Amino acid sequence: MAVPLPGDKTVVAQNYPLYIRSVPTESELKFHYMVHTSLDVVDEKISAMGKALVDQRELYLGLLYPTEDYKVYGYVTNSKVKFVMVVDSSNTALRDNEIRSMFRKLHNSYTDVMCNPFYNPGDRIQSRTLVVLGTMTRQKTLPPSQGQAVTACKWAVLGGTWRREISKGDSAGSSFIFSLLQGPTRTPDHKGSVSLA
Amino acid sequence: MADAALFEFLHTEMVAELWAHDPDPSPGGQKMSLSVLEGMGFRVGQALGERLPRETLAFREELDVLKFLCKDLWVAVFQKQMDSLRTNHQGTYVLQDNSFPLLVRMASGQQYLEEAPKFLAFTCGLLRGALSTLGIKSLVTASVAALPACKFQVVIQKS
Repeated sequence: MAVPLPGDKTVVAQNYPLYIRSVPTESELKFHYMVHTSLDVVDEKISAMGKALVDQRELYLGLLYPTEDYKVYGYVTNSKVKFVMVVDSSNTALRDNEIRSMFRKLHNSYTDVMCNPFYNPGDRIQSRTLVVLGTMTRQKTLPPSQGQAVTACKWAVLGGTWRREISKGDSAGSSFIFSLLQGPTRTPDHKGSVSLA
Repeated sequence: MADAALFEFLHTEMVAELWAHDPDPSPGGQKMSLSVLEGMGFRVGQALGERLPRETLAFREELDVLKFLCKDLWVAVFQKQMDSLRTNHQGTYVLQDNSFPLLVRMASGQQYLEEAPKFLAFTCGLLRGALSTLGIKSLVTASVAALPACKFQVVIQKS
């Protein structure tokens, strides 16, 4: 999906997604759309950060904007790669520092993907390890009166393949979408030439 | 330190290997090997540019990025900082290293001056790769006046 954003009027032409994953996997298009629209907010925050006199230079952008169903969180790295996470509003158990730690783990695994010699920077990400890390262990307990049991959905890595264990029931309440969006000027240029002085 | 020596040996072997298999001693063939070395450095620089600034705060301007290169990147790869950074504030930066670790074992003075550029190609690529991950398109060239001091010139390409 290497399409420049329609609302993008700046010189930045390459905000294309490197990796999108949603759990559960229905209504993916809606999530794609939300991620695209939240890019504007991300860009606004980045440019505000550059001009602000306050020395606010954190990488974590915080809650971008809440809609009626979802909350959107953002995180940008020094290499202008943006991570966007969309979380169900009904899941109030997620606190700010949990989101921060999730972003930190995502950043770490993205760095590992970059260091993979078989990965060309700028391609879509196919790494299985990233898939696994992108789906965290989450537990959600609902009051017994609603008749739903404790749900735990765990993804485990076993020697390069992964399998999913679902302990009891399955609830579609809590959904995540992780999306890595590419920043500007990321052409895979391997043909530099050297001139000697 | 043992870690530094490992990279130095590997780098020396890389250059020697690329030159040994070079059937064409004319300048055209040499350019190919230099490009290969620079390309290798570029990919390594891209990965380093992603991994090293992980805990640092966001860079606000180009000069911050260059300072990061001179301090953190150089320390991580060569265990020392760059000796001087100069700029004309119009997109050209000159990074000077007075005792470049990959050259310091070779000679001190004018000996081997013609061979020195081969050993700088990888590092030029390293700088260019790290800059490209951090969002700056650039052209990096190196020059040696007297071993082991060398200068890297970074010209930012405005597109």
